[in-house]
Amino acid sequence: MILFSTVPSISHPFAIRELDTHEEEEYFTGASCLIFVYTAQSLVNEGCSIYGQVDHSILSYNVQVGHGTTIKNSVIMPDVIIGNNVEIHRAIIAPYTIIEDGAVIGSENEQDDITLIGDNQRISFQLKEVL
Amino acid sequence: MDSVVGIINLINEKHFLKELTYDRCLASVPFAGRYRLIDFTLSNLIHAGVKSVAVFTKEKYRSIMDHLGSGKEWDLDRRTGGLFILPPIHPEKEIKGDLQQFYDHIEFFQRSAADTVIISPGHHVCKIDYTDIIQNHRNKKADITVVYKKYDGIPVQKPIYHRCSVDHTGAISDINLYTFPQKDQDICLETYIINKYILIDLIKKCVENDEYDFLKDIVKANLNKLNINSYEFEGSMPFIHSIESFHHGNMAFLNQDIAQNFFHQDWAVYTKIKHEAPVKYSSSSCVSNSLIANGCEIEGTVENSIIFRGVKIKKGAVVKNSIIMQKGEIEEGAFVDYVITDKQVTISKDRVVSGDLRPLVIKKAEMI
Repeated sequence: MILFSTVPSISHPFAIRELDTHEEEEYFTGASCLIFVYTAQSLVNEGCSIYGQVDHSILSYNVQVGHGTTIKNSVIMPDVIIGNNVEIHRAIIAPYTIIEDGAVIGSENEQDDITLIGDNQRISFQLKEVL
Repeated sequence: MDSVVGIINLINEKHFLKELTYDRCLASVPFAGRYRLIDFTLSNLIHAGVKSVAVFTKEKYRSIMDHLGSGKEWDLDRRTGGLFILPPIHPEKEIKGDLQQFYDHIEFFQRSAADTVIISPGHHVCKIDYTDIIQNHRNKKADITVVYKKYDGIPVQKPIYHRCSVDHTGAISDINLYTFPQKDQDICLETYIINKYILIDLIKKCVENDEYDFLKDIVKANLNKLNINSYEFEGSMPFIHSIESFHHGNMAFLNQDIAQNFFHQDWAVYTKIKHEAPVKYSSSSCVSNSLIANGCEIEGTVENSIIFRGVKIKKGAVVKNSIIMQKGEIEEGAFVDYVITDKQVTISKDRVVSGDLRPLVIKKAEMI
């Protein structure tokens, strides 16, 4: 098992775009790319690059997950960029969100509410927010 | 670039991929989890603004015809120009060379509004900027431009590649056909830019003289008579000429830098759209360093592998260093190592299948 040391660049959205000229919509094609071990009980769509752990979650297309990151029991919408060493528990993250390195989102405690991160947010470390 | 027409020449394809080209042409071989080899060439042509592309096929063209369709995914489903698939006019006769088929379809060239022709094979995995090459071709006022690359592939067993010698002005001084390439030698990529009228003229002359090979009878024969320019392609391209190099080329896409270069920089690689559900990973799945396409159900272990669409890997199965093509099934407890399986292959429960010095190739729909 090889761990890559390069970090997915936060400034470029990774996308394998395909133009459907009739509908003028962009389809994302291309395989998901998993670098690290451990994606259990999850659904992962195309265009994702996963360098961390994904457990019991749903990842939409074009989601980038950085090194050392853990995602559990969450739903990640398309085009989300998640940096390194992030922890995400029981959260729903809206499209185009950027989660910077080291952020901690949500709580494992099932008594707490589910964390919802709304549109176009950029989340820095130590944010634990319930909207 | 309305004045350029693209030709994808499949006539000179060789059979070095054995079982994988048993019932499909080389350009139609699945690659990197989602694509076929021809997607790269087609996408390069589209990016350069080419609106009219002809694919000259020789044999086994059912697969490529199905993949290309009307050319819609490459924006070639057009009223003027668009995609043309040009098979042999007389399939019962032996094809003597690519010029014979160009001659049989000479109307395509004559009716095209273009003045420049790009000729390329269909199996090169690279991102070439044809705009730059054509600019170079026009600046140098060349009659033909030959694209070459320094060889950096694994050593070849058979003399497949053609070596060019480039002089100090950048013109081609000599071409050696069918050689064993050494590292850093200039290898002709069989990609040419040629003026359309010169091409039509030369096709007619050659066929009249019973000469049927583009590289030999148009390029090499005219080294001293025409202005034959060279262009070095400096990007990355995995040289594919055997099962090992095909495996190696695929595995290169597990490298993030190479994948980044091919899929996320400059322009996209377009392919036929096939909608599938997201990959389902069960609690017993364990995946590392792999490329997994949609529609798969992973319950077992996958390492350093490329898994195409719709593959089911059952619990306890282990897949390593392998390429599993569409709709494969790896059943419980199976162990698969250094193997390339074609579409719809089933590896039964607890079977151990592994390659040795080179990858083991399992042909389409086999049940092991």
